[in-house]
Amino acid sequence: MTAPRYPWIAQADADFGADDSLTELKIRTLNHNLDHVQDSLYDRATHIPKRLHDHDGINSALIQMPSPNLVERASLSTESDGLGGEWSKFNATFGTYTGDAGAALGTVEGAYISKPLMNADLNTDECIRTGARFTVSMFVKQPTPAGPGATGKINFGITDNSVSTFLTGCKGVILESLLTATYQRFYFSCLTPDISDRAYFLARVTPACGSDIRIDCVSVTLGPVLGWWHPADYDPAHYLYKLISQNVPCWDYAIGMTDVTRLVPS
Amino acid sequence: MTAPAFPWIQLTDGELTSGMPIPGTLPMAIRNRLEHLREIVYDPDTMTAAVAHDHDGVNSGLIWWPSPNLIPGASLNRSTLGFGQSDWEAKNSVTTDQYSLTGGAFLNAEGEYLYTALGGGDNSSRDDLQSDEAFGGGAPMVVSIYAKVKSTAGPPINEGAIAFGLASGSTADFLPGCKGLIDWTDLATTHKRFWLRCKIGDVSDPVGMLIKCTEKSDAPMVLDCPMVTLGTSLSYWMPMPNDDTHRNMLKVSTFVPIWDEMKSITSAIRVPAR
Repeated sequence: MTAPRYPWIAQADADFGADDSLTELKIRTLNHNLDHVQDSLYDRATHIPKRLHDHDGINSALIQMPSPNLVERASLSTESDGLGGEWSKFNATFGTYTGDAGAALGTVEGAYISKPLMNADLNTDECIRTGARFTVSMFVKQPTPAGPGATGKINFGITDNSVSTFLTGCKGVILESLLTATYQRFYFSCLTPDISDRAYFLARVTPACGSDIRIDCVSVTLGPVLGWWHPADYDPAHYLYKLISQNVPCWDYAIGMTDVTRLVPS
Repeated sequence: MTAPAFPWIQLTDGELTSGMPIPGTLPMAIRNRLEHLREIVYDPDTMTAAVAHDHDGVNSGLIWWPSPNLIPGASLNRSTLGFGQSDWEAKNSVTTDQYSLTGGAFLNAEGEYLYTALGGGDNSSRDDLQSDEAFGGGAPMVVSIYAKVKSTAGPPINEGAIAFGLASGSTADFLPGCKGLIDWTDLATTHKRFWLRCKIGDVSDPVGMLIKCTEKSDAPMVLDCPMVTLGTSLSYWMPMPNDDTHRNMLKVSTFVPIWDEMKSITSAIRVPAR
């Protein structure tokens, strides 16, 4: 960054007493300080920010690029729950990827779907230790919306090998009353506490909803930033987008990125 | 960016000379200068930044997203080293452990090294990637590795050191400005992450990552999860895409804190590039 034309000179309140005269020095200093701020902020000719910071972690705060999706078989259908399927579930059914895909659950208290992050070779306990920054997201709809008076809730987030209890600060809650007949994307970012077991993604209904909800295209990525939904890098079920649920707007800029609902984790 | 409602008014020192009366326009000019700057900084209605820059390289500096890891077989354990075919070239005395135990490659004799070409390849002539063509006049890269000592029992007589970085056509010398040093005293019995930022110059041979013991130590130093990415920013360790050994984290050394934000990102130790 080019140095400002004038260095910043602090002016104390005492310099501007009610009975003090406005001296040349005071007014010049004030004027030069304004020039200093302007020089620091942007290029007057182009209106482009002047400091060419690129958030590399050294000249400015690091922007953590989202990692690949840490959930394998993250597009939910009978294809991702088929041979070798690692989703565990209770009162949930998976649709066909060409039709009404997604995991249907909701009318039974405690219905859930759950899956370990990545695979069984990875001891996530050791990976995380002092805390991992995850961004957790999923697409959700309710084909027959229950409307504003609905009381059901969908909890989703990170657990330590539990299908009922979430890690502290790693749970998002979606109110049934917010759901519509078309997919919306919900997400939150969290920092895990120290855990002693494998990390899992869990989506669980409690209390029960009035009619089935559908969950699809879940994602857990490292870092605090939401990214586009993608399958895991080497997903055995979705290699190069193979067998992806076809009715999820995962490339829709508005639904997938700009109009997503950010939740406060608890 | 929308032009501010208050254009910038430049006031010269000559307009602010002692002995001259303060003209009525001066306070307003200063007020307008403040309004101008405020409009640049933020939208007073929404309290958001008024300059909607997104670092696309035009409205503000381009953010160079790190590339994927350029090293195949980058979790160092018996699944990637020591069983015949390997992406890594190792001096024989380098030993390893299983991924589900401690994992890692153990180096403690001066001259021991591990080398692998960036981008993989068939290893027939070190690499399929013609680096001189690929890099042209040079590329910025970030090189990182996790390291610890296997044991600290007893004060060692010989406290070793590890060098890591980029080499081109050599397992002896690093490219200028592309080597980092880790001293024994920097290490603990749990992994820390070390990294450096460098720019390789014009090269005529394929480029690879070299990890080398430069000073003998009594107890082994354990190296794991190296990474080389294009760009200038450190990022989380991930296997190289399509890395068959480590597809979706298969056979990754389980005791490396690769998802630990503090150890891997915020408290990672940047070492000078020599």
